[in-house]
Amino acid sequence: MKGAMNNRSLKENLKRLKVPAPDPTACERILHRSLTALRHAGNAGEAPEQTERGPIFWRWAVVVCVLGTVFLALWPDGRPVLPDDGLAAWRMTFRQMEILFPDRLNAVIEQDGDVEVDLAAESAIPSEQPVLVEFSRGPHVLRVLSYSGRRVCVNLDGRNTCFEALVTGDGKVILEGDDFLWVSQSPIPQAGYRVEAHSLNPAS
Amino acid sequence: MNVHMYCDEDDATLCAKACSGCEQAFTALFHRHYHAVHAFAFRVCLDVGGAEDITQEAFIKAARSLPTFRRQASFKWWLYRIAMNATHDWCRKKIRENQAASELASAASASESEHVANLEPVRAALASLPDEMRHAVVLIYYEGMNHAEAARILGCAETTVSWRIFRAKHKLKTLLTENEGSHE
Repeated sequence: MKGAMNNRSLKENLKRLKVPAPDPTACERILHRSLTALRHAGNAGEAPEQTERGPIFWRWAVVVCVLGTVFLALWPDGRPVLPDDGLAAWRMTFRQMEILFPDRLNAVIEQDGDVEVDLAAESAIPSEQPVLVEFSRGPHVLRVLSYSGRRVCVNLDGRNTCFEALVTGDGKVILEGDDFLWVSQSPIPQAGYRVEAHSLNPAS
Repeated sequence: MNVHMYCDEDDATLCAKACSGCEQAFTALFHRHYHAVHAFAFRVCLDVGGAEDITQEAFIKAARSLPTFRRQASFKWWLYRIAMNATHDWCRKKIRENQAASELASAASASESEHVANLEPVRAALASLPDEMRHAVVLIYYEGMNHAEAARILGCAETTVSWRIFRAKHKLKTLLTENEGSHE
């Protein structure tokens, strides 16, 4: 019996599923029936107005300016950017970051005062399940603010460690890495780091 | 019907034109998404005939409901939501048919497990998952959605999607590892 499969191997296996080519006659038939349905639907709905979208450049310029202002305000004397007084403060910090990067924020990673913002390439429906994960060893603390189900990679002692934080129905958090599973009920250290994970959802 | 002139237009523009009754615009939307919806339907139901039925149902419902489509949402995700609902209907129908068949033939469950065993390993592993887990796997792993997006399509809480994915991964890993072991 081989060892347990990791997430990467699972993804590779799933890609092997073959999808049979659709029947070309079915394609024509379905199109014909759909067009008939469209005719019957008639012009009941008015075409909604086009949403005006400003040039991408200006949108990003505004975001960068606001981001700079917030960072300067939060970081006047070289203190770490992120506050350290409870989950409510982290929740507020994350909400502010969400406002700065609407629908694109994947994670905020803070390590010993350095902050990295992980943005998605494309906008996505925002999650309602933010999580805070802390890896600590001695004075070194690495914090990850992200969402349930998002894959985040961090550097722990030069080793790239990727995981997904999953919020369960009762508000507990599970960290599922490529080769580890961490649950709050039995918090086993990872790579020598003590791990803590919390849902930032006030309801949980 | 010349639909090539619509190839460069985005989904939102084509939707607006299709809403006004422009069949070429709808045809362009259809050709743009047909293969993706068919592949999605196949992965969800793992049945060739079922994928065709679901695809047909999804496009017909989309054509009927186009006037109600809100442009804030992505057309693709809207279409997938319709396809997912069509999948639920198809699954329910399939269960009813299977129940009727099993009343006629007591060996139905044996032939069903034989059928699953004869499938390619990944398909067999996916087929062995409960429907709700497989639906979540298809949306996350094949369609590249995040848990929040999948939750919208599936009509459940994000935590439910997370939990289903967690359970599904564990089960798939076990099944696929066993399969690899048995072929060595």
